[in-house]
Amino acid sequence: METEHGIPVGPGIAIGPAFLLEAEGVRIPRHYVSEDEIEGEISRLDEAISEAQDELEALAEHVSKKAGPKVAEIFSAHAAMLRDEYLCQEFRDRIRQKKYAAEFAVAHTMGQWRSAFQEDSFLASRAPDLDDLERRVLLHLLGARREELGTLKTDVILAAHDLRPSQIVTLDPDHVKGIVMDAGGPTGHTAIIASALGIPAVVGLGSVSARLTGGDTVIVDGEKGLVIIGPDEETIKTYRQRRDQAAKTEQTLLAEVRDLPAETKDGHRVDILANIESPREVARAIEHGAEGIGLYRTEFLYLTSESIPSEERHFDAYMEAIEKLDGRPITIRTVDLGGDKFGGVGSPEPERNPFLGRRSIRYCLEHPDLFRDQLRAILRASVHGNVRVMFPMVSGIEELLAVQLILKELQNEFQQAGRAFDHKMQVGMMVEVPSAAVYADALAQYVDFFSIGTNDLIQYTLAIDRTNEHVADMYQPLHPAVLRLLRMTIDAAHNAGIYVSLCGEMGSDIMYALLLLGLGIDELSVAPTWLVPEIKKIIRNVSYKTARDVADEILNMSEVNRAVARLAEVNRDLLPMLFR
Amino acid sequence: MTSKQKHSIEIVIGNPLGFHIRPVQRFAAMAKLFDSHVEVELRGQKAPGKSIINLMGLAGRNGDTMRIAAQGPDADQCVQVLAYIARNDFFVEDHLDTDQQPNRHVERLASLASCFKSDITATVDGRNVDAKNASALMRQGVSPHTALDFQVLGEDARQARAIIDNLVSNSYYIEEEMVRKGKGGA
Repeated sequence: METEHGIPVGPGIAIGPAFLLEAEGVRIPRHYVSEDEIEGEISRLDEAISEAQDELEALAEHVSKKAGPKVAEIFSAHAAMLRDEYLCQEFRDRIRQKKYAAEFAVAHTMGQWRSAFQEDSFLASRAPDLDDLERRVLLHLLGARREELGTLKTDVILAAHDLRPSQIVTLDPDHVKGIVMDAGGPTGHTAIIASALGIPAVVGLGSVSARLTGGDTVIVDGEKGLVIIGPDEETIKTYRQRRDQAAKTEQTLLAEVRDLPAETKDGHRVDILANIESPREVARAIEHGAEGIGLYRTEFLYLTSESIPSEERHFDAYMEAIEKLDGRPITIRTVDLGGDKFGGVGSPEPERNPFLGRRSIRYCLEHPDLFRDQLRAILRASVHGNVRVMFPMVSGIEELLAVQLILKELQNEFQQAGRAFDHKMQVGMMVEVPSAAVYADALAQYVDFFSIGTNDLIQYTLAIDRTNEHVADMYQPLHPAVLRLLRMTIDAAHNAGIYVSLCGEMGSDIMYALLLLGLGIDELSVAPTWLVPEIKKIIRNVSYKTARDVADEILNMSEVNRAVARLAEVNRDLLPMLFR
Repeated sequence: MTSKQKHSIEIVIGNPLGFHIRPVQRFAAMAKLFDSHVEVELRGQKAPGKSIINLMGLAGRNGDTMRIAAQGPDADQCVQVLAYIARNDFFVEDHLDTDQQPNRHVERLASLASCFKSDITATVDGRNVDAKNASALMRQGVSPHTALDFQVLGEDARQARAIIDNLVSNSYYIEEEMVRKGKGGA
């Protein structure tokens, strides 16, 4: 039994066999064979080894001609390792004695060697040689039988060095019960999606994928950020109980508040919606009692495709979401690329300060054709459901007018062509740049709603990159300057007669729900969706008057630490069932 | 010679890189040319001397003391050859400095030949020279680029020839050899 510590990014507990996603997506289809299959497995193994040797020797010859014998030596060395009778005997012993399938025998043997190598600082650097060797033999063994992540048939814990956005959005939450990853941090795409799908996930584990062998039993503790490899019976039992207990508590809470509004004891109502990255998440959001989608991050359409998504592709995605929403509202945010969200298609040249550069709406205004394709798709979809559109990263009125002009032109185009669109579609903007919050009163004249993006608002206000470990602890949602900006934004909106939503992470932290309610927020858009019942429960258990008093008190504090302590205290007093 | 013959020797690893893949590959390849069972012991841990992966797993570093033990009909010669290789950089840098240090290779040839009981004669331009005598070889102008024929006569002739051939094909003319054969070491 081995315990690894990482960063918890997806909630809950999962127990299951590891599905090791190698760089090439190799997966071992089965682990054991029957007695009469053993000899067949051994011939398969011998054949694969011999093929791999031939391949390596051909490779060595080729490379030697191209790059000289010194470079080629690594391949001849790998070929020599496959001629190591002791190693091949280890494979065969596992097949004969333990009835392992050939693939499992190879993976298991190499996995053990890899662990042994990794324990030694001197040998650790040679571990990649073992990876190469293993992969080569496995590919020969599997041939056309390679199993892919997309076609899982059993429940697994997905283990990988890193996952591409396209791999994550296509994974099947019915079978992927947990995720463990070497790379990744608290704000990466894996974190966002795992959390949204409610998949227990731990990232930033360093070398967990190397320590695991396909089929190993793994426990993922998404609360404490622990990964337990090869747990004993006792540990499995304890975790099963914890998992079942948590599921029961969640079910009880869900059953209690799912179909009820988030209405305070004194009759003040807040709408609770959910954030999504893909239409696939809609059903789950509704199941958890979300009253609609308050933020659809459409940039994931870009991050997950090989080419720039067409108008049709946008439209299909929106329609898929709209159909599942059955009349509930959906706020589509136009693509927010740049900053930390690139890597798919359309990546611009690197910038010195990507967060202060051509990101988000600035990128869209630079590429009006892409932007128009998306807006056309939104207009087309608008007649089929309760669609709202919002623009991210707006910093001033000029930008807002520029994007609205494009939208207006498209609406005229639709009008002239006699194409249907919702003339009354609400158009909003995100308030996430401090300048927008400071003169929200002026901006409020031009939109139907605001949606506060707290992640960026806090980052830009406090000049803190929270993914930078050296300053991350200075990322403080309760900083007085942040709270004042929130209040200014909400008050400005209400004075102009428009509503304010909040879709940043602050709205998904139950710690802040009471405060945000007291500040007068009209709508919270929450991620992950499993938090919806908790947020509803908080709002249903307090009065709006109390919440307002709390907000006033916290807002008058000039020190962050005192604000944090006071809010925690109030939460415990008012909501003992959630804050113990 | 009986199969119960046992020999062992303790040496200090002489390779700045320690047990990296190439030194280990060279060592195991040479060990495989003998009939004896070979075992290497390092920091109390033992590994079969003909297995690259097991040898790598010992994580030998430059300056570490290791014991090479062999059991079998050719245990004596085996231990001597392997000890010489392990003390001398595992012969891994050969093709880098064959031209700079031609004598070193001739010394190697003579030293490895001396590990065997058989008479080993090298023929250079029609003249016969005792291959165990480095200075005689050098006097005949033997260099890494000299074409050599060997005559090996004696009870351990088979192993001796295998070792000499391996050395010659791997260190002399190594670049041409590798291109022609498409493989290096083992």
